[in-house]
Amino acid sequence: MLDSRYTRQMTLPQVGESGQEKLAQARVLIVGAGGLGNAVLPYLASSGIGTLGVIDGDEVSLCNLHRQVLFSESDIALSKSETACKKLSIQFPAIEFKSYSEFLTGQNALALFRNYDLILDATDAIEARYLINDASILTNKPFVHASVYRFQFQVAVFNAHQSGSYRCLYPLSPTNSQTCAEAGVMPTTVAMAGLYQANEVLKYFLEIGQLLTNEMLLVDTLTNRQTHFAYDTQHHDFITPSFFALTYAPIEKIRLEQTKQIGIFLDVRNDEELPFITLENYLRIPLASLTIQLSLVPRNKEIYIFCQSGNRSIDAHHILIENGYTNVYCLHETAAQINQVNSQIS
Amino acid sequence: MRITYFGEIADITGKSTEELMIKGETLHEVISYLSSTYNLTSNDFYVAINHKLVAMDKDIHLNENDEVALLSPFAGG
Repeated sequence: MLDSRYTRQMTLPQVGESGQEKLAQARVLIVGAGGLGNAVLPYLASSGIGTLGVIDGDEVSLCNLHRQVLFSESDIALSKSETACKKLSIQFPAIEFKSYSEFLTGQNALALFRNYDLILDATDAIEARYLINDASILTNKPFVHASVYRFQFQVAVFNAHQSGSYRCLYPLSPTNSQTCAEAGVMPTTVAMAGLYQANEVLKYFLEIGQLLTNEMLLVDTLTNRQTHFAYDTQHHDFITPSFFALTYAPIEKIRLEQTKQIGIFLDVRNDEELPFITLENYLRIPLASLTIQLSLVPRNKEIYIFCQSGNRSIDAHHILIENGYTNVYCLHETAAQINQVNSQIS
Repeated sequence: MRITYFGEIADITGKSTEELMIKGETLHEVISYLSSTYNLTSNDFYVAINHKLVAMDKDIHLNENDEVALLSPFAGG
């Protein structure tokens, strides 16, 4: 017997009792309980999605409150996923909420995804989107994506009914992209993006309308212009369990003070990038050339990788691990910080 | 030919749209204009022609009425 709270939506011929039953059976995992997660969660719960999992290792902070409207000042420093689930379960007692107070990683993603029917990307990092994409492909789950830059947002549905994936839209990760923390964001922009995502989720389970598959919708909230971008789909055979394990292997990080003198300091910045670093056992190979110059990197020593911000170090770490290197670490310090430590010593 | 910039690319170019006056345009000529004018490299953006993303390794002839858009993945959420 379905709850009468859904009467108004069940009156819609596209929903009805059978549609409501489909929503009640649905299991959705929301990755991230930040701006997008806060917009999506109340509406997926209020529409009657039966099971909602929320994974986020982050804690509530004051600067979150303007857009993460499930949280109050008294929640600061508490787990985002726990707090969101606790509040929503009071409002929607019939819905099953499952909180995972950890970040999504290569180690937990596949097992977690297998328990859900659909994955919702509410993260704020591009690397996390490749992880979600690849784990969705391996577990054969659709995922609904949104991302925000200032007053614009992008929405798309990937890996649904043999549709294209995030790697079809964006084969390569850009060298630099700003998060909401860096670029700034209005609460209404991220809320709209989240509601587009929630709407795609409901359409998917109700099997109504046209999903944003094989195209991405880009909305500019300042001009109210909406643009659809189509993209070619491709089957990415290289996404295998072993590729996944290697690509998302935990990155071992080390501090400069913990390094050994006999180790190799591998700088993967381009040749012209400043500052120039003076270190013993220093090796500079730009990331783009690393694969073809691997013979220069000794296999019998510990390798400490660094770059300008830490992003390219992670890519270099993956390249070395994929090529059989074992004692590979990313330095906590960036090139500028290493330079600063060096100048203090001298 | 109208070129539209989205997201961070629009911040770099300082405009959301412009009319390009390049004769005998091809995609590679547009990319080289973006590089010399805004110091953008093809690693920084994706290109859509008439709302369809295209691979930048092929040099595509562009017509006067083609709408070219430059975009990149957004990180925030």
